[in-house]
Amino acid sequence: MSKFLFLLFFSIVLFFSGCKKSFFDKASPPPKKITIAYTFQPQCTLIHVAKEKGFFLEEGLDVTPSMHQFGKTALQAVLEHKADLATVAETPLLFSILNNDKIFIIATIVASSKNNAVLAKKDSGIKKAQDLKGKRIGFTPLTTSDFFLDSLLIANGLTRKEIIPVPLNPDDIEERFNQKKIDAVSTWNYPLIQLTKKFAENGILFFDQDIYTETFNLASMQDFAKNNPTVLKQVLKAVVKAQEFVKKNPKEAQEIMAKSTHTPLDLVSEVWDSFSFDVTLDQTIVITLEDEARWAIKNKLTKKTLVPDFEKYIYTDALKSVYPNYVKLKKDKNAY
Amino acid sequence: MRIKSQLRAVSVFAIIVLIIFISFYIVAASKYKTAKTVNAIVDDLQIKFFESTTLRDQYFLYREDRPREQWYLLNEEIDRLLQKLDSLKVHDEIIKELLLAKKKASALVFRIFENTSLLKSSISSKQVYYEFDNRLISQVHIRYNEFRNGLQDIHNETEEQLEKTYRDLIFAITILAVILSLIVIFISFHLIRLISKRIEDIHDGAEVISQGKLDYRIKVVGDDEFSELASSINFMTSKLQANNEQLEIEREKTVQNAKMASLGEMSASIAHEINNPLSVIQLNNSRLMEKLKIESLSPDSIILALEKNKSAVERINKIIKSLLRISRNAAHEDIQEFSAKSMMDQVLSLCSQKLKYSNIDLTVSIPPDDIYLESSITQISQVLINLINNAHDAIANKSEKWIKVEFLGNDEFSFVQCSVTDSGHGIPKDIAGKIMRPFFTTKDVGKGTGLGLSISKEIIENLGGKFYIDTNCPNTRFVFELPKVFKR
Repeated sequence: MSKFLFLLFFSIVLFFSGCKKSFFDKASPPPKKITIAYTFQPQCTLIHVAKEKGFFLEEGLDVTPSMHQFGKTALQAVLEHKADLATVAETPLLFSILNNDKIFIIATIVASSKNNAVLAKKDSGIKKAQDLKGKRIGFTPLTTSDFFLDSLLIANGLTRKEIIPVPLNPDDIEERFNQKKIDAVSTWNYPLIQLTKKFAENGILFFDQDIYTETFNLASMQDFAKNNPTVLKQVLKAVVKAQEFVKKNPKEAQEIMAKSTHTPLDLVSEVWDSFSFDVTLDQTIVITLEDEARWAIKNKLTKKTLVPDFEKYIYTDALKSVYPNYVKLKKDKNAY
Repeated sequence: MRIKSQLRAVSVFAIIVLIIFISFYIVAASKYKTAKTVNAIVDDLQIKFFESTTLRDQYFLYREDRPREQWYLLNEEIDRLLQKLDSLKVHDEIIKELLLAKKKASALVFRIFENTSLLKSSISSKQVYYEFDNRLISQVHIRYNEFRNGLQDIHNETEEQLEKTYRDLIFAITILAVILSLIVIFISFHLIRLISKRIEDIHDGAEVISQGKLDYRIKVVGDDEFSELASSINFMTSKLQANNEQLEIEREKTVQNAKMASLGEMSASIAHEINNPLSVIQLNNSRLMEKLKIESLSPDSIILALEKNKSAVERINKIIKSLLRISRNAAHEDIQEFSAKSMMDQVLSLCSQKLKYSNIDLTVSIPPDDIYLESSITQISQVLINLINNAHDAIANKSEKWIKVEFLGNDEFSFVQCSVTDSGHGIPKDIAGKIMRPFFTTKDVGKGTGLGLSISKEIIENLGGKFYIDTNCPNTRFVFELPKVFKR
């Protein structure tokens, strides 16, 4: 009897091993081409790792990178249908939603309370936060630097009316400092740390991790999300693979990031702990968007007078279908 | 391999399985208990957290001292519970994040407490502080949400842990039951197969030996307990065979001795038997010689006297012949045909004088047409002499003395029955059961060998007959029956 069972088992194994190539290994379809607009910023670490480690290809996606200097322009690429997905902070998303753009937030891929700060030059007479009063402070409009600047001023008893706001492009910060056209700047990493090091003793940083939580998110046009649910699942699976890789191999992830973004490794490592690389959809994005919406309305940065229902712009189906535990929104039945 | 060793190996295996299971059970039970404790703490934390958010929101609304103070107390309780949770060293990553979220949330609430005093005191910057207050509250909400998510994550993971532990336990119990069942089934089948195979040989061998074939030996295979048993039986059989052979020699000697002893016992009566005709011869001779000295006798008178002597010599001759026939080794005697009457003549010639001397009346009853047997006349005669002598000894001192020898064997019988009855009052029941055993005797020491009846019984049974005491008879009656061969 046992001999018979052994032979049967052996035959089955032989059969399946013989059939492996011809029967089970169906010719897999070619990877689906998509374009993701993202940046060289540390907030895009998961995308860089997923791309470099081949997680997108593993999930059947051939990702074409569309590289941008910051999230706002990456989102613009999606809005202009030049990219399918973008990685972008919540502030550009807010203004896009306030502008009635039909976008969806697919997932938050990173959160940080330490990525934004105001860098000032001491030779401009700035020794403490209150000294910002009356100073020329650079910022990138309708980005997190804009909102953070406002939050920092408020936390230190100042208002935007008490400073001289100078809109600028992140690439122009150093030049503006050199031209003495600004005394301080509200910005993010890597420029923040790079300039701080460059200014050395002459530089002073003002930050407050209690006043603002930045999120970086995956976003797409609503039509794309509705028409490509499988692609979104594939993207999310690849990004979650990257998340797991980053948690298990932070050093290697930093090396990948440095190589991929042509950034010095020590700089990548220095800012690494400021970020929490968690793929999620929780209340943070909603609260932050609402907070920023109130700020935008109050400062007449939008024509809207009411805070929109941002949950309508959060597309939970994709993440819920692959990682239901990652969806923790109050509106969702799985949340609490 | 010895069965004991096999069973020991299986027992060790079963014990190892049990130890593994118990270790697994202890680990699983420990995990289960920890998970339960974690869940209880998380439940408590969720309740405290809910109360904390209520107080927090109440404070944000009214900025009163009471909810703030109560929030402080509750916050300390939450910290204690978190420390307790942290000390359990489970879900390290989540608890680390939970502690961080709690720390950030508390720090934010403290800043709101601080900002409240600025809000209350400041006039020019009131709007700014109000705005800041709102930002802080938003951040508090974010941190509280993180804290709540962390709690729920721990709760979910603990539930999964409980479920997994339960599944693992069920799996382990199932595996244990299957393994133990397989062990029991394996041992049962193995032992049944082994025992039936090995016992069969031993059983068959023992059966052959029990039938008297003491030269048979059971085949010894392997080195287990059954081979030991087979060897022991073979050894025992060898010893038994040797003892039996020795016993047979001793028995033959004993029988022969008993026979000689019986002859010895009979010597007195034989002496009597021979003495009478010798006396007759001596007397005749004396008379004849005296008369011949005195007078010349006629030939007729001499012939008469010599006739008497001749008759006496023939009588002696007959007694001696009978004695010779009975005393020779009967084992080598061929079966022959003879009549009951002729046999009784022989027997009586050896014991009639002894009975007469003891005034015992002997009657012999044989059917008129006689009874013929085909057997060993010598051995049957021995039996009859033994029975008559026993009867003589038993009633010699009694007032009523008679012995009756009776042969039955007519058409009503399918066998020949011979009985020796004496005037005694039967054998007591307590003796009757053992009177046939060898060396049992009720006679005085030195007067009996105790082998007579046992030998007689054996003789009759060897001749295919039965030998017994007739307990229904009011007198002492010994009976033997022999197959009836033919009748003339």
